[in-house]
Amino acid sequence: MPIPDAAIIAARAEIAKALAAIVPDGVIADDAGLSPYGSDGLTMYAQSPLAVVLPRTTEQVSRVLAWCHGRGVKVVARGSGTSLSGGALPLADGIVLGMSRFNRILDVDYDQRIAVVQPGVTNLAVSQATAHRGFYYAPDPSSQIACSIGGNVAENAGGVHCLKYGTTSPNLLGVELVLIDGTVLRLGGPGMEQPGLDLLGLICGSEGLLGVVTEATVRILPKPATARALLMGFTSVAAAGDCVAAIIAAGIIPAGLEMMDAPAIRAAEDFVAAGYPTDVAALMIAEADGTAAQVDDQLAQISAIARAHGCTHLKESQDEAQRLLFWAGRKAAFPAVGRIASDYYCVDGTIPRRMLGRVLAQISEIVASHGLAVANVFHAGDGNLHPLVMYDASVPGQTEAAEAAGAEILLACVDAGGVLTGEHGVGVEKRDLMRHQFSAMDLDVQSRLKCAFDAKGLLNPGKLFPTLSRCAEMNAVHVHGGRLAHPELPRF
Amino acid sequence: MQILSPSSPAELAAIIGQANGERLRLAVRGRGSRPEFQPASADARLDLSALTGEIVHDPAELMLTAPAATPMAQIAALLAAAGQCLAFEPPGDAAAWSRGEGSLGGAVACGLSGPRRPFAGAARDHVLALSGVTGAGEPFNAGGKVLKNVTGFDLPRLLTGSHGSLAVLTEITVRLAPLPPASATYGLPADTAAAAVRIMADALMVDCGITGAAWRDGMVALRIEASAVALPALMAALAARLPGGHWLEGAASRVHWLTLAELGDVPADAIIWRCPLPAVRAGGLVLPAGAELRLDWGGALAWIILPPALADFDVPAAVAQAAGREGHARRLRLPDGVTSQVPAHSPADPALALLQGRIKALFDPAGALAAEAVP
Repeated sequence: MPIPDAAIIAARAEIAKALAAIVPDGVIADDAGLSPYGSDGLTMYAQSPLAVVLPRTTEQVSRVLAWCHGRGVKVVARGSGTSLSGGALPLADGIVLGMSRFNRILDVDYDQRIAVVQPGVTNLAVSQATAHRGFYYAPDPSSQIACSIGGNVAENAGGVHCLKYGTTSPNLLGVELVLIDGTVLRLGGPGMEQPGLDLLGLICGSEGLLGVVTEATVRILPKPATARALLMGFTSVAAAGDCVAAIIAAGIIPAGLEMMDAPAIRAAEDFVAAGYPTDVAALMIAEADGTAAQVDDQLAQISAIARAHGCTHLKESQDEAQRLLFWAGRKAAFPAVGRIASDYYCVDGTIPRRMLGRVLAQISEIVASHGLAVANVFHAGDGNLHPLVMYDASVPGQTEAAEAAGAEILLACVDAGGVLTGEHGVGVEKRDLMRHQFSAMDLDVQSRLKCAFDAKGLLNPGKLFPTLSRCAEMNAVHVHGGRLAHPELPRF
Repeated sequence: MQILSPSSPAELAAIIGQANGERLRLAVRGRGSRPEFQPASADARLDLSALTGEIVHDPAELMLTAPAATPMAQIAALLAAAGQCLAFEPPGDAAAWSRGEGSLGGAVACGLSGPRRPFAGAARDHVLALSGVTGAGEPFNAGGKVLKNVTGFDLPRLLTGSHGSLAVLTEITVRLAPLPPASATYGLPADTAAAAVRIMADALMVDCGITGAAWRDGMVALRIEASAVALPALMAALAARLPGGHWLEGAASRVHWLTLAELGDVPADAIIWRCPLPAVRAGGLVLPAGAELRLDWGGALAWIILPPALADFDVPAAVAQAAGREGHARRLRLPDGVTSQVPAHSPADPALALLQGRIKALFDPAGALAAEAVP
């Protein structure tokens, strides 16, 4: 992380006082009050912030950011703090801007199928608020009961239904965004296309480095009339992987297509008794949604493909309770692994699906080489892996071993033609691995965008990029009317 | 004008680098299907049509990677043969504003999405990875060749629809979708745009397989796409819920949507405006007699078609009156020989323009990629 600025830390009382003048009942600066903000969902990292500010209005956010900009104080925006990549990890010399008080759903327009919500609203609350009219919000990260829409926008959060319904970005139509200098912008809105550069697309997934979202307009969808699930067991992971490829190649996009390996199946079955076969090497859950005719047709096709690929167990949910039971095991896979291991480290990479068998074998080797064990659950439809590396934090060296194994797994994903993160974000966790996926030039071209939004580097520094472009240099190249000033001068 | 024709990304980078050194402004051109987008003035033309080569189509991974100058028609034919498509329905070479063979790079740079946009996402949602050269001559890669990726800033979305103002694209990876096996279109009468928007909103209030909702010539068209097995039940359910319509099936259905997307039936001398706006505002558009209004995207996209005599009708003002700053207009075609006093697009929001200017300066500090002209 960047070296903390001792002068800023020493000025904590003064800074807290100035911020309290902007948000009178919303500044926390005592150690006890700060402790809940010390880490996010990636608890391997912890750092108490300088102070926490809890604004209620966009105007307060704007004034807080402008003040911090003027004073040179760093800002880490935080939604519900469920990030699995350390995206909301505080800084010793920076404030945490907690958005939890932005907790209202402002408007739901069923005619246009949109909801306008504040960023602190939880993901699930959007679906709950629209359920009485038969609508829901499609992106469903597993933390949906707690994670906030603002955090979802920052991380471009996914979920188990991404293959068919997309991650946050395709479901986001507009935001109100506050820049570090206090400027309030509106990007997108109730329409479906914005003029000029797609700044909304850039903001989504920018991990809090470019601005703070104070309002989001999201797409809501009418709920499918029916959904049914198929449980499929295979004697090898490779056979299951081939089955996934065959389903996709047959022109079928299921609403969900999930896979678990043997250790994950056994852990889940022991935990929730979902009726999973425990003598298989891979278990797949395929869900079809839509009208009864669509669901019947799709499940019949998937069943036929599964049989042709040596599926040994095939069970179709007979009612809603059984469908939910099929999912209960998958959704409880993380806590289930938590029962058999004192700690686990959830890794998140995406690979081309055809590499599934090879990469899973590599993952086993990597984890074994660190003296640890692994259970795998993954979004098979889009190739998004979640190896759960099991370790015991009370045993000296095991935390470090788990982290090292996680990093090696991600590098293996990249080497297989994949990427470092499918849905959890880079954050602080994968920052230093970025050089493995991108060249120095690739990273420079990306990170220079920071200079257009936050040239002083005050918003969430130390996350996402191993190093940032030096904005002072880039901005010193003054451009006027498309032409450089002093073109006669050489530039290095 | 000097024409520079790089045949590789490395040559392209060298040309742009040299243009930076010599302070040349380049007019970027793909395969030339949109000559009216060329800048009013430039020092040289950068002709990208030689940037072709191997197309990597992986049907099981739902992915295709191709050099930027690959003709879109070639890609469409390749995908159709494999039972796949680009779900966002990019307009093809037959579009009323096209003047030849369009390229993949041009389609991504323009970022136009067709009738399936509200249901399957926009062009920007289907660009997974790309390679390019910035206006400063720097070759780079962005995104990832996988279906789900949140690694780093989302340059593929930023560059889709950026009209080549930040970088010149050299290779693009797009996400594919299965070609819907069967489709049918349900037509319902609607005299006004407001009535049409109401019908479309009602139709879309439940999940029923609709992948197109448009209005033209007094008829709302609702497209259902599904497997051949599932289609009849979906058709019966829609007709039961919204009685009084008629069905277009097979080729008639397909032609209807192609015409809606590409405006192939519009007279050659007509001016074409494309205006995204909130669907509930479309009913408020006030147009003079002789102007034609069509709606797509459930009402969230208005096409305004003007005869030459109405060339000076201020469409951006009409859109602003109906939708405020939530709507915007862009002229896609001003036929040869027709002139207009009206600016070709709605004015930019000043605060956003400032930010966009800063981004432009970071990618193209010397202004080597000349600003496009608009018809």
